[in-house]
Amino acid sequence: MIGLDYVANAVVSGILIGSVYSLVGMGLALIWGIMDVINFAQGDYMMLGAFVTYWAFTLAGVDPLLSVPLSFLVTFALGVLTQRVVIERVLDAPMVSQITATFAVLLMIRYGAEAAFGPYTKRIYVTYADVIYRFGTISLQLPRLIAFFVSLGVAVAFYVFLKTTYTGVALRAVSQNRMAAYLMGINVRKMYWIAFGIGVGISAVGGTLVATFLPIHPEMGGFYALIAFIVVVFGGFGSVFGAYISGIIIGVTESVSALFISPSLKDVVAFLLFIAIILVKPTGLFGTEQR
Amino acid sequence: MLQFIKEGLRDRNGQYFAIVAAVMLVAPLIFWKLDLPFAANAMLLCLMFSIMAMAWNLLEGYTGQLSFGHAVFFGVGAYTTMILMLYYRVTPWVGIFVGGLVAALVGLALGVPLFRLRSHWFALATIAVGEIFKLIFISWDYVGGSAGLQSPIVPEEQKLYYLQYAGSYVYIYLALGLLGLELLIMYPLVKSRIGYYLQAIREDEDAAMSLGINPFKYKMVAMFFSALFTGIGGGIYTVRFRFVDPFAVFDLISVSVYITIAGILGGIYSFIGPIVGSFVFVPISEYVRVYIVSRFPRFYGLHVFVLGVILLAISLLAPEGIMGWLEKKGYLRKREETGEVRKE
Amino acid sequence: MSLLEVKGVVKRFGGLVAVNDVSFSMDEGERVGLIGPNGAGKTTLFNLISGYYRPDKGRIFFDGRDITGRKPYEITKLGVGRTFQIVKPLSNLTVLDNVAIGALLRHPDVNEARKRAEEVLKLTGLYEKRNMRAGSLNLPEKKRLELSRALATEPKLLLLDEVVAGLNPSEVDELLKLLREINESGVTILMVEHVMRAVMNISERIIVMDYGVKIAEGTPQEIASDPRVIEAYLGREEL
Ligand SMILES: Nc1ncnc2c1ncn2[C@@H]1O[C@H](COP(=O)(O)OP(=O)(O)OP(=O)(O)O)[C@@H](O)[C@H]1O
Ligand SMILES: [Mg+2]
Repeated sequence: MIGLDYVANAVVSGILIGSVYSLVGMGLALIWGIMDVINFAQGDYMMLGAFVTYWAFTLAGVDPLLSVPLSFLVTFALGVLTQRVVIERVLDAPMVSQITATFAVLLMIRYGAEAAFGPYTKRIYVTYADVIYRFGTISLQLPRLIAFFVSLGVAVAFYVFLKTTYTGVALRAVSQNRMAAYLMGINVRKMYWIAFGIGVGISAVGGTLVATFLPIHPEMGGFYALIAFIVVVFGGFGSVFGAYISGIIIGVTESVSALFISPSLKDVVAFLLFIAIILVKPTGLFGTEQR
Repeated sequence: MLQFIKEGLRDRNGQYFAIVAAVMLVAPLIFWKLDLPFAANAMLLCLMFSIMAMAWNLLEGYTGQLSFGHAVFFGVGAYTTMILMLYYRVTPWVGIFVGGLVAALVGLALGVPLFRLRSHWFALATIAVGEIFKLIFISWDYVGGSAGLQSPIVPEEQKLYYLQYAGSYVYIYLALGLLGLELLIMYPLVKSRIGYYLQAIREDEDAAMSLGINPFKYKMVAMFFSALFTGIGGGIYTVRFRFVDPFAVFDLISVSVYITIAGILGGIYSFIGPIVGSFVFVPISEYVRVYIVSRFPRFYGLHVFVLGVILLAISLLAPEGIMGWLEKKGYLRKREETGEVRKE
Repeated sequence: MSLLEVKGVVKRFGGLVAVNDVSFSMDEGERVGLIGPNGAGKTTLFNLISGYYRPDKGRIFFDGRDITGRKPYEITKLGVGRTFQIVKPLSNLTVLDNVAIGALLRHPDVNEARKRAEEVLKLTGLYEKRNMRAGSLNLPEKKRLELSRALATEPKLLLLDEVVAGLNPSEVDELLKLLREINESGVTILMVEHVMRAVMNISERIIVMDYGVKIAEGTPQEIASDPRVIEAYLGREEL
């Protein structure tokens, strides 16, 4: 029998890690919602964020928290580049070309990073890594707590950005009706650059946060991409709030189920869950009903 | 039969086919004489991926169902052949086909839920299924868990029964035979009513239904043959390498994505495109893997990076693949000529 | 016995009742027009008859069988052919192959089906374009392709959703002549059309829908003078 305190601990740590999942999912949802492009490489931009943080810390001693903007900016720039060089050209292409193009980006980033950084697991040891707070039977690791608040801050900032700034409003306009937005004088092409840049940038912040308390590896993006897909499918598109909550729900589900399911089958359950979700929500998202 | 061959040779394509077939039959002898094991191995892999990419393309090019999960069928075929041989002493001459059939049955079982999904969702789900199979085989003791299964070296007199030969030379003929079998089955299939129905489903499922086509039924037919020959590809792998493990045979990148790239590179709207794609793509990737990455293990991953570059180049520059590109440039007879009547 | 019998069908989309308790029947060999303002529910009714939607209520009988809830391809096999208002060509295939795929339903042999398809294309006037990519046709041609494909399935009942739209007057006359010929060869026709001249000309009987409800049914003369019909149209836009 598993004690209640274990469950409580699992819930709390699920919320904390879930807030990182939220960021990765939000980035994917932004790109998907605005351009109707599924970025298979989303998890790999997140990995880049983690490695930016790792190298900044290792080479220059930059505290991971200070590298949040750095990792955002580096991946933002890379995202804009990807959009201009790759995505832009397949926006109106058949589905196969779109999927294979982002898949190619995935292979280049993931294995380019592996060839460059080596196929090794890396870790950051910050001085506050082992600071643990206890509330009754619940214990909280400081880096995870920080990650939670940074993630919350990023989500709020993103929300405010979308609601109040010109660019944010323009982005939403483009996602609702590309043609109308164009006629209103919005530079759609530029909005797409920004969308892809911000989309991968937000996910990269997730990578930075993860790097403070989990080992990182060039191939880590695969797992987080799966999580991001579940977040998006579960939380729906175009809602920052939806993505945030669904990330946390998934974090909690994962960490609570880990108490009951053997670790080797844990991922099987995650994949099955993913298939189950998209089966239940079958044509709902893309199916055309107009005949 | 002779009549058939005579007629075939009168046709331009038939002549090309005869020449290519002759080269394929002679090449392994040359590799063997000149002692070129790398070339022989590359040729075997080309043939193995030709078999699988063509099978994959029945689903993607003909039916419009993009699978990133063909490693499942490859792995099931490879494991079945291995288990029959290792545990039941069944000759791989039979085991390879049983492996194909088991893979086909797995394909049908997966088709039931997966074919409810459209476009992106189908592709995503096939990735997830591939990972599920890998994880299950890793923790399944009967099939050797994460260590996999290895078949022992057999004494000389059992070599034929267990299909055990040094190098790739003999296996090239095995693969050629199986590719020939596939062509004999696939070509009539795609030229028949079924082939037309699959293309109708690819173009528009609603329109297809209005023409009396049950999309699910025909997708299942495509899945059956697609999984069957991909499983047979797995059997070839087992006899050649005598070792299967879940990380190798269920790998998303080096199996599923390889098959996909070979197919797309060659051209998904062409019957033989996937074969052409395999023969271009596999040697490049093998070269990088064997001559660069094996020598400099520090740069592990570089070979896959190169795949990424190739894949990106195709999807941006020639999304219709090599065959489609040749056709567009007028080097091949077009399938249809817009605006004017086709010469029969 | 009637060929098609629609009994009290209802189809809702969320709060909107797109088809509201519609009943009518058609005898073999009839030509019936189905008219109504935009959004009246005509296409939705077609989708119900041809099996693309399942009615929330009501039943549909075809040729003596209850086909309610049957799949579209089963209904096609039973002998209901349809066209799509928003055309759905098999874009990357040739015009001939588009039609041949329809013909394969009754002629499983590919060569035989292609022969049948050629005959159909000669009838519908697309024969010259048979080797073009279907996607490269213009809209009126695509509409005629829809018709050719449906004909190739050798239907007893043909559901035509705005096949006349976009044609110039002489083309309209030509098409109407063709539809009459098809009808005379024994095919029952139910057609949705906004071009009043065309429906009035070809239909023996007309059914009028508005806001999902059948508001009138009768001969073209009766319909043209029916105050409810006039109101339904004048209440919105031009006739
Ligand atoms: N799949 C759907 N989901 C939601 N609403 C729908 C759907 N299909 C149709 N509708 C709505 O149902 C109503 C009837 O539409 P329908 O297409 O049947 O009209 P119609 O009579 O064919 O019009 P038109 O003359 O413009 O073709 C409309 O209000 C339409 O917006
Ligand atoms: Mg309509």
